[in-house]
Amino acid sequence: MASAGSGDEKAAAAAMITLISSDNEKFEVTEATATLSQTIRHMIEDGCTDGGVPLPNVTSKILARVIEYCKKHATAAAGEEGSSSSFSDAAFLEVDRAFLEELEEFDDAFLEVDRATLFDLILAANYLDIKGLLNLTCQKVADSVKGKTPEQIREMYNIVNDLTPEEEAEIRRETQWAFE
Amino acid sequence: MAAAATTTTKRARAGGGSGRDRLSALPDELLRRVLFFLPSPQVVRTTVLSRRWMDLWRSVPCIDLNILDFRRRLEVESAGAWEKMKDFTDNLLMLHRAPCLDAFRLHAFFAGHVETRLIDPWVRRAIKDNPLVLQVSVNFTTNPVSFYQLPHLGPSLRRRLRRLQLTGISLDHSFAERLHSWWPYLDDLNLYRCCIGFSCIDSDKLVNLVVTKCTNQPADVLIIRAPRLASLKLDIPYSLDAGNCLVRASISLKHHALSARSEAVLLGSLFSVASFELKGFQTMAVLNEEFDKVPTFDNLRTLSIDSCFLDNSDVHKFKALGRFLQKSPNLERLTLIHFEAGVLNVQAASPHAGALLDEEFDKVPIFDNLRTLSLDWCFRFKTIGRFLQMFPNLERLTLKSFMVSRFVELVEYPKLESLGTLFLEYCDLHDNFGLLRRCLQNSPNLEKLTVRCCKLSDGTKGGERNGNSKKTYSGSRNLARCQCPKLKSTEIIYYQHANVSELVRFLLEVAAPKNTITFTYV
Repeated sequence: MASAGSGDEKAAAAAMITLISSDNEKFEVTEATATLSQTIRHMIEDGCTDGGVPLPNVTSKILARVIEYCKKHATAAAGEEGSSSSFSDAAFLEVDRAFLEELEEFDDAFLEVDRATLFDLILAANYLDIKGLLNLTCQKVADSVKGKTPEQIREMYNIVNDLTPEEEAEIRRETQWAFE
Repeated sequence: MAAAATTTTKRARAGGGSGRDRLSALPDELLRRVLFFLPSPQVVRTTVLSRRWMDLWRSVPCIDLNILDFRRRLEVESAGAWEKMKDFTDNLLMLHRAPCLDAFRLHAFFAGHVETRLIDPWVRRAIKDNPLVLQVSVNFTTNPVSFYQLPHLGPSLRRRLRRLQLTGISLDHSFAERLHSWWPYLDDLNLYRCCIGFSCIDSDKLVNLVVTKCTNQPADVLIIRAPRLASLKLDIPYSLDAGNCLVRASISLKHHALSARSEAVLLGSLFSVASFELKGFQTMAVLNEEFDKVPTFDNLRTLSIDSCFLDNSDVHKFKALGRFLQKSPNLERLTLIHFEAGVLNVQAASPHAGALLDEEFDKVPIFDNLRTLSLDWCFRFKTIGRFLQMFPNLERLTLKSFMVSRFVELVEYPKLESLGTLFLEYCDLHDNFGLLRRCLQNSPNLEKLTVRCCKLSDGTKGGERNGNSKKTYSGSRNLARCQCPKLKSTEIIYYQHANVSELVRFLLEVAAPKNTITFTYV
């Protein structure tokens, strides 16, 4: 996994960026892949990527996954022929459907991780400022609790209820309109 | 999804061994991002999870109100749901304190007009809160269909709104003005089943525009000026002044709602697109001399033509298609839907597709950039063989709902050296696998074959329709053996009663040493 970008053409070598994980593992990626991260984009713009980009908050295990995501989505973005609004990820044409389905399948498979990894990915996406990945992972957590009662959510995520029964009763009274 | 199916105990273990609460450990900002994706009632209910969660709901940057979330399971009448929604929303809007709202989504059903005024304060609030995304969807169970009228919104203020999605709303001329003055940053506008009372959309920022299933009253055509437009989907007549940014367009017209000349002009205004879906265009739009003046679609890579060129004459039909393809020299993917040939005049239409094109060109024109071809609902496409000759570099061929028996002449089927993937779906294979055999014989480099829910003889539903359904496959009567040395995988997806064994018997005769056949039953 250490040379995640080794398969890329030599021609693109000039635009390669080295990312260094917290456990000192080096990852070579194309600039197009790296700049899905706004954090890294800004570093590149400021010209401080020589000698690699240290990412002290991201382990090699998580960084490898993040790069996997960025590679796929960077290719997808390139296929879009630019110019599309960053805001609209909704391509609505039937003709684009196959392509979108493929991307969705990738995302679904990508999210098949244990909960600890999912939270690590959320934190990494936030730190690296990768909007798509942050939304994807946060939505995954949201989906897991959708339709669940507070008790079920507590059990699911080991949330310790530190409210006294009196306090909880009072909160429920105040927000009774949401519990009917 | 496997992760979702695991048990709670497993989750606890996966969550960090000692049952750490990783969710509550997230910083507020990220917890709010998670809650952003939940309906508001559930967001509020997280208040009792623990002390950590008590006040988070108030600052979640999203309000999501959907009548369906207030309905009891299996409840048909929504009266009770509406009361609950009203009570909830009034309380929520009073107590919600997000410094900055990213999204406001409101989805309601109404049986009559009266109640609709009750959501006015919510809509006002939604606009006042200045979200980035605003969705208002109002549906009526009444007949005829009604529309919700936006409340009076006071003086104009510049808002940061980027995406606006409206359903079931009546929009008067002031809406067009608002697009300009209120929402100068709006780049994504989606109007669905709205009543359009304005005649133009003028925006320097708009990137995506979708107007579907709307009724438009005042003008015959919607005038659009949007120099930064990248995606456009419309099913009403329009005139477009867009820049070179337009990459995707999906245009659906009612048959003969416009003159052929106007349709040609419309097509011309979309010259820069890379993906293009057109529906309902008439033959003469492309055969009109106005179309000759249209610039070449140099960027066009993906084209879908649905229910167009419904001319009685096959000659005109193919000529129109040929003319369009000539204008699209870089086309890579073509889909034809409901392109029926030889339906009305089976006898008279003896000249082939290629021959029809011959009139214009000395020989069958060749489109060698085309890699993917899909034919969907093209009944009785009489001259598929000649047609395929135009695309010698085809890599992927999909035939859906393609009828072969009797009507189709499989003569002149070309050798497709590059074809790697063949997909047949809902096709009629009653013809003793004539079509399939022809495809395999002429695709020496085929790697993947999928036969999905095709009609096979005996036991299939389609079998009854055909008089000679008793005809079964017999290998001995075969022509030359098919050679597909590269065929690696064959996927057969079939219905309950399909006579798959016959298909398998046929496939086993194909010389494909590396082939693996998989079966899926649906």
